[in-house]
This record gives sequence, C-alpha cells and structure tokens, in this order.
Amino acid sequence: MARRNRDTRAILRTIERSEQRSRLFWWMVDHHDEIVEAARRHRVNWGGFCAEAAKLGLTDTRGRAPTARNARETWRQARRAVAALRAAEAAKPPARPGSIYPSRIPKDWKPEPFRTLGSVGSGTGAALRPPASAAPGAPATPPAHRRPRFLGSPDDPPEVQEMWANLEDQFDKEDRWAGGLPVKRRR
Amino acid sequence: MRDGEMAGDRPPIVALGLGRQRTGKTTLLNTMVQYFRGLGNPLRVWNADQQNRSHTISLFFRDAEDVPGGGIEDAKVWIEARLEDLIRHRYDAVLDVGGGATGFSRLVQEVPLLEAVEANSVRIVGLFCVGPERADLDYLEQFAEVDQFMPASSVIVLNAGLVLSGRTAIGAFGSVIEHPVVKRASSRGACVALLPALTCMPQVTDRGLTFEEAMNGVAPEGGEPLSLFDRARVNRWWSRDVPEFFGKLPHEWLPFPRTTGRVGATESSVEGIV
Repeated sequence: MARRNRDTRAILRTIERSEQRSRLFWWMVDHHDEIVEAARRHRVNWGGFCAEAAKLGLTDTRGRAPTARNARETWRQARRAVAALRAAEAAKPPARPGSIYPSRIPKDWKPEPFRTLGSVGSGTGAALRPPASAAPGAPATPPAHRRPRFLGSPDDPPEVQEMWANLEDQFDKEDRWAGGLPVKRRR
Repeated sequence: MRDGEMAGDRPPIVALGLGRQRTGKTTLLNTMVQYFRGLGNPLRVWNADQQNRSHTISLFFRDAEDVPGGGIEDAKVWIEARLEDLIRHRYDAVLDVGGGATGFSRLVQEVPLLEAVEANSVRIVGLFCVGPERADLDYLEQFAEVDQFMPASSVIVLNAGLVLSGRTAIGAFGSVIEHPVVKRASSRGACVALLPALTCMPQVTDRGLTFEEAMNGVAPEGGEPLSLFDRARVNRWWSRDVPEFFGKLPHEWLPFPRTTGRVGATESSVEGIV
C-alpha cells in the first residue's frame, strides 16, 4: 500500500494543480487510499469530516469551509481523478527488460519463477503442489467484495458496491462490443 | 398437479414487467420465459397489456393467458384472480402489465398488494424496464415513491437495446444511473442491471421465432430465416449474453426450476437459498 501511495503521489505531482480545483480536492487526492481504508471500516460522517477539514484550512473552490454535501461530491470527483490516473498508469507498457542498469539491480535479485520456487517448502517439488487450502473438502475462502470504480459510493454497503461493480462490468462489455470506451474513460 | 404447478420449498415467484411503453418489458419477459422454460421451469405467462396488439407476449407463447375485455377494471379483476390462483397452487409466473395507466396500477393504488401477496409466501419480483430517457424513470418514481410499490426483489433493467446507434451504453445511461430515484432504489436493495442489446431483435420478433429457432436458421411459415450474420448475432446473445445477464441477478429472485436449480448447482445449494 505504501509503495502504491508513493507511486500515486508521484503521478499526481506531475499534474498542474489547477486553481479550478479546491484545496479540499487536492487533499483528498493526496490522502485517497487512507480515506478509502477508513471508509471501508466505518461510514463516513461528512458533518464531522467538514468540521475537521475546516480546522486544517481545507476549503472549497470559493475559499469557504466545505459543507457535507460539497465534501461528499468533492470526494466523488477525487476518487474519479485518482482512478483515471491509475488506469492510465496501468495501461502503459511495462518497462523494457534491461532498462535498469546492472549496477542498480539488487544483489539478491532472481528471475520471478526461481524466486517463487525457492520460497515455498523444501525442494522444487513443493512449489508444484497445490496450496493446502485447495485440498479436497477444504473450506473455500469467501470471495472478497469487489469495489466499483465509478458508480456507487464508498458509503454503500458491500453488497451494493458489488452490484455497482457488476454493472460497470456489464457496461464495459456492452460498450466494448459496440466499439465504445470502457466505463473508466467516460467524461 | 396443474400445468406449471411445482412442488418445492422455495416460494413461488411472480415476475412483473413494469415501465412506460416501449421500454422493452415484453422483450425482457419473452427472453425470461424462453430462458427459464429452457432450463425446465414451465412458468406461466400472463398478459395484461391491453394497449399492445402487434407486439404482445401472447404472440410468442401459445399458452399465454390474456386478460378478457379491454377495460382497466377488467384487467384489475383478472390480475387479482390470477394472483389468488398462484397463491393457492404455488407455481411461478410472469405478468406483463403493459405501460401507462393499467389495471395493475389501479390495483396497486387500491390495495397494499405487496403485503397481501408476500404474506402468503410468494415472492414478487419487480422488473422496472428503462431506456436512456429521463422520462423512463417516471414509472419507477411513481411506483416506488408515490404508490409505495417497490418489491424487496426489484431490478432496474437498463435496456441497452434502446441506446441509439453510435452512442455508448454508459454515455446513454449516465444520467439515469445517477438519478436520485435510482440511487434511492439501489440503497433500498434494488439491483441495477444492463440488458445487453441484440441489434437484430426486430428481425427475430417480427418473425415470431424463438431465439433458439432464429439462431438455428428456422424459417417462419411463409417467411425467410435470418441472415447468416444475424443468426451469429442471436447465437452470441442467446448463448452468452443472456445467461450472463441472469447470472448477475440474485439467484433467489429468479424462477430457476426447483428440481435442478441453476445449471451446475446442486440440489442442496438450491434449497439453501429460500
């Protein structure tokens, strides 16, 4: 998570911080993952949030203390901005092998398959065995709820978030066949 | 045991096609009946659409039961009788209520229909069909917020077949999805789902063919079969898109056959959902 936060911040630093966006917006972008994590545990109390935000001098586009409604909408826009940036970053081709100077490669670096084999059990045969949880009769791990990228709200209960994530998939599929753009690129 | 009557533990399901005219209620119910009958549930078909004559669900199913008479009051009395019969004999059915002011909307205004039917262990599934126009939500708004008719098992079906050519579905439905009526409904447990488009749907329905017949190149009496490419389109839609669409909806809201459940599901897992 920490690595991802650093990566996100690095991407975001490349964006010109337009005056059209509020200080609250940029704060939410900077603290995106922390807010998502907090919202996963508890429903966001936007009234309390605004009181704290005002103390930090986080204002709306007019320089005023944000209202609960304003903060909720700003958070929606911040999530979209971060998701769009991450999607753009993920769409970039992977770094070309050999693009790192040999002197910068860590001493304990190994190619991926060997690292995997060496980390499981004793001997290479252990790596080829299925994990213990895949044994017949073992209880299956319940699937984690998927979180929607754009539709819905982090305040929604998990099953509602799952429904919105399903709908996003359906739109992606429908628009891909129709030659359109995926959900994440709308607007 | 009467036709369509089924024994079993799960409650009978009556699926209602709701929405303004030309939003795809009949198409959805036609698809649903073909799909679940294909899986082995002989669910009954009730047609209370008194406005539509050229594209009614009765054209697709010879055993569909039609409302006698043309008045709203006729339809209301007929629907009441059908529901009483379903409660008594425990089978599954779909009801096409038609659009606009209908016998069903009159019934909803007169009696607390949901409470009355669901108190008898019958699951009402509301299928609210909407296109990309804002006015398509009026019906949902009227039922859900004015008449207080919003079944716990409700699906807001976004009909991608109504999206104009050249537009993306997400672009077309963006304002619908973000409308407060939809948000409120989803927060109360309604499911929102996208019915995938079949671009040659009129070519299938105008021929009075089932989807299986259409994709297999069957010709209607005195007519031509679908073109090669349209057959391929129907094949993809019927074999892949439709199962995926129903697969995204809550299993217990759908009239899967009681004896076998969802394809691939075990008997015990089906029983556990009731």
